[in-house]
Amino acid sequence: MTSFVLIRLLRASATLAIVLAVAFFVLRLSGDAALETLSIDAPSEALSAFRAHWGLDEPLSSQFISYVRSVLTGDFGRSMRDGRPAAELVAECVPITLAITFPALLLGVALGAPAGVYAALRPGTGFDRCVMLAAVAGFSTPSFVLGLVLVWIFSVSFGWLPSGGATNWRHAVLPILTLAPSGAGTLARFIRNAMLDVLSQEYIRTATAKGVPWRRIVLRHALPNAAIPTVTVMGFMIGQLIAGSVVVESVFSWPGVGRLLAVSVASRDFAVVQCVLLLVTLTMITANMSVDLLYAILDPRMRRERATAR
Amino acid sequence: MSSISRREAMEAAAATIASCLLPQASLAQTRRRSLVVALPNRPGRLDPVLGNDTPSLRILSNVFDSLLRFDYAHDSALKPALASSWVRQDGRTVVFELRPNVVFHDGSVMTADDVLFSFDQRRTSGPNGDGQTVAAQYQRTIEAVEKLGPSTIRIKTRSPDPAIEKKIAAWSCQIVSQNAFERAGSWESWLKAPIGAGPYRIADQQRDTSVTLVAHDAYWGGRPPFERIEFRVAPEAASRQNGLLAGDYDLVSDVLPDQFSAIASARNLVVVGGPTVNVRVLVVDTTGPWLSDRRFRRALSLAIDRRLIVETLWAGRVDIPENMQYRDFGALYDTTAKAPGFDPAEARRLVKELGYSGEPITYRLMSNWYPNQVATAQILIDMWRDVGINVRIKSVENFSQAQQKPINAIWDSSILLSWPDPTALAWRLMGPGGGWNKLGVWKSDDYETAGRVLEQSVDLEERKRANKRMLDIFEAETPLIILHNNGAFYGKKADLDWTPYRSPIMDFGPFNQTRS
Repeated sequence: MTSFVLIRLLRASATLAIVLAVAFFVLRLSGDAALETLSIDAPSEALSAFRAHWGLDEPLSSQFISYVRSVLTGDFGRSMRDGRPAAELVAECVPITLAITFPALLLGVALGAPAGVYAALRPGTGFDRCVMLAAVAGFSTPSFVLGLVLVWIFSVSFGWLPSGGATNWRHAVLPILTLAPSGAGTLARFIRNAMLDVLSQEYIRTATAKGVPWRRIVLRHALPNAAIPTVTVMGFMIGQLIAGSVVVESVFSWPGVGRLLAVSVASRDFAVVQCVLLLVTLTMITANMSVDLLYAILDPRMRRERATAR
Repeated sequence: MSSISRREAMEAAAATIASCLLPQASLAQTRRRSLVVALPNRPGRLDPVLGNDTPSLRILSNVFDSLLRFDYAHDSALKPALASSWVRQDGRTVVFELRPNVVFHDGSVMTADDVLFSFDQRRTSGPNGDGQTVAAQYQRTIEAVEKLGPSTIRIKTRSPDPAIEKKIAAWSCQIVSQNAFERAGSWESWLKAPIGAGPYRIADQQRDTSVTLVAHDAYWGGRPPFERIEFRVAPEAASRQNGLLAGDYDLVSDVLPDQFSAIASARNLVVVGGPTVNVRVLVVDTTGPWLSDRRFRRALSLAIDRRLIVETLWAGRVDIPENMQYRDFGALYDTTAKAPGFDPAEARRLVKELGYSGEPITYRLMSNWYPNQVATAQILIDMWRDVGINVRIKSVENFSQAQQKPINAIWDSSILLSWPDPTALAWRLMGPGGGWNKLGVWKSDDYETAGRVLEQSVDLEERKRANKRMLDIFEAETPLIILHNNGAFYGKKADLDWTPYRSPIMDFGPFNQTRS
């Protein structure tokens, strides 16, 4: 188990290093932060002073080395827009984003998981087709379209909920309802397919032939086995908690990490963009590692394989 | 037991009712409306020496006042503001008499020292020298700001500057409280709640989310008409429209022409606005192949049916300037100048004469930085193809990519009339030290000679001749292709008494109400 974790930690570090390097160089090669921040009207002296202040007049390699050094000591740099520490800005936005993405994830699981299981138990019926239709609609409808439709219905037509902003809980309702269907749809399809796979296995037929009650077959044999591919999808969904709502945050003027990222990319606020990307990568890596560890817990075969390998 | 007559009882009842109603009536008189205004973005830092972008102009013009102001209802005529009068003594010197009893947002009274401080480098340079960029555009020629008496200020320029009063009224010369600045102790603290003398003070600000202003009732120009104004950032145009329709916002900016009908069809909403003093242009790198020939550039311009673009993409609600100028130039406006022509036959003839055989011309295009930018580009490509010019779009993400050397291309831009004088338009960017001049995309000795006269002469006739010469050179050389004036449209509740200007400034002060 230790070597299993160590290998994954090494892979995670490599992924993190690649993201860090790619983000650093791509950002710097795709636009001049001095021009984007100060404008073309800026006197040459002001542009030079800006570049010198932020170290942009150094060779790229030197900039990268000093950036990596700072990151390793926990300093993620400062925002070029107002001089505030990038980590502090990101930390302020994370809870705001989680306030919509986490409930959306829970809602997605609460809707998608039972729907997928129920559809798998009644394959080919009207209910199954309805669930699959709703699932496809859920994950294929662009979130900005769904968001605007929901605003039209609940804000413009009925006036029940605010159309945007983040002042109180009522402002979170529409962003959550916009984010949830995508997760619910994805999960419903995955669980249905996983369940159908499991239900067609010989051990299920054997259990049925032995007269094991159907309810027990589903709960004890089918669901735990179907959970393995489902956990993979859940890993992706958890990984997207931080950065999966860029569009929704823009549509609803929700001041979370997504908005921060969009504004920072537009203004070439290097430190903030890099800090957000690192956080997103870390979240993804953590989610994936957790999924790997969960596999081991959920699937006894993997535990045995590892034990044999030792 | 005393007896009360019927008359006395009725009088007492009337008095009781009146005593209940009168305070209500007086309250109704003093009660003001609060507004929620949705904008696509907000200024990064709330001090006019640090930003002259559209969000800064929109919001901060309500917080800070300068010595002079513009009367936007009358072609931007100069009016007194924090100075009650001013006298131009010679080409380099203007003396201002300060208005007495001007009260800052912190309750202190403005003094001549506050004016000196507001022009001092301690303030204008901004944190890390960032202020040089913005403030320098308006204050570049100022040599000294001196106190002649407790309420008299003299501003001297290094060389004669006929437009200095206009630059002072325009931006970055707003007066702030020196005591408040020093009390703040650092730029970081100052920028949390800077103290000016405008009709509203900053009450709250949330990064990238909102700026909230409240009325400054001691405002020298009269009682501000709104109690509180919350500027909320709503980046998406559709979200702003929905918020307005849902009643969440009283006013939204940047309404696109295809949203006009949806907003105007709502019972209690209207669309207001129109063309602004901001001309949309295509900048041409005149050093590039084919683009270096002025006949080719002229053909590019003659191929464009601007009226068609305005009618189809802007619902006919913006206009086309008569060369690079605005009526706001006053006496310097050249009434003989004409809007750029549409003559595809002549464009075809020029292309043929040059022997051009379809070599691709690059158009570096950003994705809708300006409203209708991509649609306009697609129309332009077709119009150029019609006269035999092969223009190919290369998508870029930002201005630094659009202007990355070697350019050899055309790209979109716009020029805002920063102050109502010809020196504030093309000359600001094409003249020495200007952004496009530094890029080296066009150079004309004749243009620069005439520009220097325009910039430094205080003789009106001489300035008129110089301006005319520059306009003629512009027309003949076509270093920029004029498209049309940009439009600024707003959706608002019909009962909201607010009038937009032809400037990006959104004035919620008493002068806007006076106008409407």
